[in-house]
Amino acid sequence: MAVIMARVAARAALDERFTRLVLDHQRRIHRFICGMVGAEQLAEDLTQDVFLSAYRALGRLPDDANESAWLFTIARNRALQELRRRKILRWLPLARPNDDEDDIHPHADQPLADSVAERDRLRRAMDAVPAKDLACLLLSVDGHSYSEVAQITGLSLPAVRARIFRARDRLRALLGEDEAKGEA
Amino acid sequence: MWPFARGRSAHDRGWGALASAYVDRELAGAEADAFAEHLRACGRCAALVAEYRSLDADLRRRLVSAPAVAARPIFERAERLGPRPVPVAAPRRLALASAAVLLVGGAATPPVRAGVGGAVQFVRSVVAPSEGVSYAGDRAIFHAGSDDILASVVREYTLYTAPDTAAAPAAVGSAPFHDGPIFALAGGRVLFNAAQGAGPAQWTTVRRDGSDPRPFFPTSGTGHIPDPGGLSAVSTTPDGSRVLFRRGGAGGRFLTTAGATLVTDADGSPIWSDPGGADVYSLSPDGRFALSGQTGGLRLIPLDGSAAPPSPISDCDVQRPQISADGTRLIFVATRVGPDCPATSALYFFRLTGAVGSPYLEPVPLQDGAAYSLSPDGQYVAVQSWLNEPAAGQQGSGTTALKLWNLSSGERQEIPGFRDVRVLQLSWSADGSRLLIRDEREGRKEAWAGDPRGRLGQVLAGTAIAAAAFYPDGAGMVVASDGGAPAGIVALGPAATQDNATGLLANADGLAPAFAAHGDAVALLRRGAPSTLLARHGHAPAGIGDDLSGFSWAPDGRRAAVVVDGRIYLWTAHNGRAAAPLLSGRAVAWSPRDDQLLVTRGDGSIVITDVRGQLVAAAPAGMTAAAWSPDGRLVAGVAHAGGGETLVIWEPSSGAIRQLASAVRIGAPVWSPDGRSIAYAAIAGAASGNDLPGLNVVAAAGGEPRQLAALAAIDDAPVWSADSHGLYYLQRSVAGAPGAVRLVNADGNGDRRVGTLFATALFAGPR
Repeated sequence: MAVIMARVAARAALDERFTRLVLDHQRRIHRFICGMVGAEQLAEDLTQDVFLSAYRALGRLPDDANESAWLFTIARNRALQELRRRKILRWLPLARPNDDEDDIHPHADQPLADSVAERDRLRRAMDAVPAKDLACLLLSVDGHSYSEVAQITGLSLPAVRARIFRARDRLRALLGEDEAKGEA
Repeated sequence: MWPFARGRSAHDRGWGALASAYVDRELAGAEADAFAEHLRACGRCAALVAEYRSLDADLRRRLVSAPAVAARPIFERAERLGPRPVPVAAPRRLALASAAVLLVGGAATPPVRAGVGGAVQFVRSVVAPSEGVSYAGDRAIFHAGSDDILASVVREYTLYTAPDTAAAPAAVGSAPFHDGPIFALAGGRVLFNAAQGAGPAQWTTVRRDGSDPRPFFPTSGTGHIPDPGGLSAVSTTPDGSRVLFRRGGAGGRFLTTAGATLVTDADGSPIWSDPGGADVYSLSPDGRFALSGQTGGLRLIPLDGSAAPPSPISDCDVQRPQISADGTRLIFVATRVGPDCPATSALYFFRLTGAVGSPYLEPVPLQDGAAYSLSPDGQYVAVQSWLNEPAAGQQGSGTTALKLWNLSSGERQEIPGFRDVRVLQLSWSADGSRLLIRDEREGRKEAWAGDPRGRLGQVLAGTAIAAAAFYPDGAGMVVASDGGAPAGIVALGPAATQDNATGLLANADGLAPAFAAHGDAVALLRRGAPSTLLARHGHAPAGIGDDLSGFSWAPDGRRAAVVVDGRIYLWTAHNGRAAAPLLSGRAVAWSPRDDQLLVTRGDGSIVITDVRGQLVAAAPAGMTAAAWSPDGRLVAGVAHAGGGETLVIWEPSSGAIRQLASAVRIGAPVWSPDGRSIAYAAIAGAASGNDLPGLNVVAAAGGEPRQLAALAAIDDAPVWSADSHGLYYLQRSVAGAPGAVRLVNADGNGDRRVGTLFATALFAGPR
């Protein structure tokens, strides 16, 4: 009977742990995936996938594990897998009237056209950065230390530093080129 | 303007990595000191650092601008997966002793599917019109009074015994079939879930001639246990000597312990039970083992209490295992959990003789939840997959097909006639010569039986089949069928005249009526198929369109907002035309004041627009399940925060938010017609010791919520009576199963059953 009760209690604890994981991390995971793949709806689907994978594997995660790093590891792998599978690195959303956010969520402080154009430039540049480099940079921007990024990605600290720099440098160059074309 | 300097130099490349790490505060020691000193003297590096910071700020802004994602879909999908196994460490000597099977698999799909549906009396909707409403159909015209009217889609199922494809079945069984599967047991009895009037359904057995109905779980006697309730029978051994029951989380909710398993003999005597850790899906054909698929692999659990395995098999998930009668052939579904596991769902076949360590054949890709069945002799697998199977590791798409997988040759041969149908059940006869296929196509539930390598015949053609099973001795089969009686929408009179049923529209199974609030029209909606508008006074039904995923009448009933392919259109009833799409969205509700739309966007955010699609107001982030108040001034919704949910009222004109009630989970709010109260389903939570959903009412002006009744599921939305004094709700034993319609006063008194029909959902009608 003690074993049975222990199992029941363990099941309840697992469910509660998963609930907390979702509520604590879903926003950041979704933001990260959104940054990786660009498409919001796709990111939402992938976010759900990430937590379902976590749900499946949660029973094997030690109690004292770094849950955040673990989730971001799943999220990074899922995003990279999706990018490989769908080959959407070069994909760009078209800004259409009456489409998604553009029609009703303009930035308050600048004209809609400028806001959309700026967003597209950045997205286009992000799509041109190698996905693994971009993942490191986005994790860093989201507040992870290099050691956490290393834990999430399985890279060494020097490799993390190099990839973050490469992503920044690439973005800087691409946006600079874009600006040059605009002024030409 | 982007601030970035153009062009890169050796300087940038040399110092850039340090500048980048500096921005991230990741330089330390001598390196940090050196760069700080350099930075003081180098204007170019100072600019570089500024550019990186600016870039980071833009990236951060972009990340933060991503819309909020709702937690509920995650929990709902997790619920559909079923409970996860709790790792139980086996003693080392047992683990070693159990290493007879070594598999490499992956994560998987829900181990137990929901029941197959069907009911004695089947009600899909409740409406409460306040004025005369007429319907033009083939069969009936209906005039409603001024009181509450219940309109229902009805179908009755009874048991039949028949040769596999008999045209003239013989009805058996006096106990009404409720829902779920049927099993033919050893000893010549039939097991099914029988309706019990207003009480919960009960597992019952009858003889094959329908006589001698008995509860499967006797209430007394040595070794017997009472029916613990909420059990789903999952499978039997081919000879019908043992039955596997599962009990999921109560009401399918999350945050509960779940997954208890019970194995009985054909007399209902318990043989083995597990409180929730085993995640058992099937029994070995000889009845000696329960097969448990879970994260960490397959386990063969001996049911005789011997101290043999649990056997951890792999780091991947193994789900829905089935094993051949001789114990040498095993199939299961696996998908990805870890990096070494398969990336997509697939059905794997392993031979359990000799050295075992990898699949014997290339796996069959399949959709989550797709049906499959291993023949008892282990020679064939009937499986629903894609017609054109994707390459290994790739996601499948396109047409689905039913296939016969020859486990000797590896060939997969299509079983004709089952492309793109929803296969509900695949069962082999005990001798492996015949296959029973139950499917749903175009809203009809059908069954087929015969040799899958030869000819299949339809079982009781022209009838709706809710469940079926072969007799183990090859004498035919038992079927739950409606006997060919048409399903239709009927109306019940008001509570004062219960059972005053009037036929409205025949053959309406699968249709959901949407009534214009003050008009005289009803749209009959079937998601993913052409939807129909019925107008009164015999007007010919008119088509609305294909693939509608949302629909909301304008108050005058002359226009409607419809959702097609993620876009919202305004549709005009009299000519059936729709204007250009207003905006994107996945749900819409027309304001009772006629001038605004409440739109749920693709990202889950909620906004109010005018009828030209121009933004009027945006709801607070994270709000879901929004509903207009009857006067159109307020919106009730559910906000998610702090690990729980809160029922809130939002006033769009001022932006003000008021909190009314909090709980672990809250269902969609329903305004009373007078706008004074809001009803909702809620789970109070473990802290209060109550993790079951309840029907609650709270005053819209604020106050203490009152729980009026218990519900089976958080999604069981109640329906207010026209006078706002009472609430209709469903009383049912298991979420999704048909239940009795009950009416309770808004003050909690006078709870009573309405009529004798069973319902699966309640919908509000015109007021």
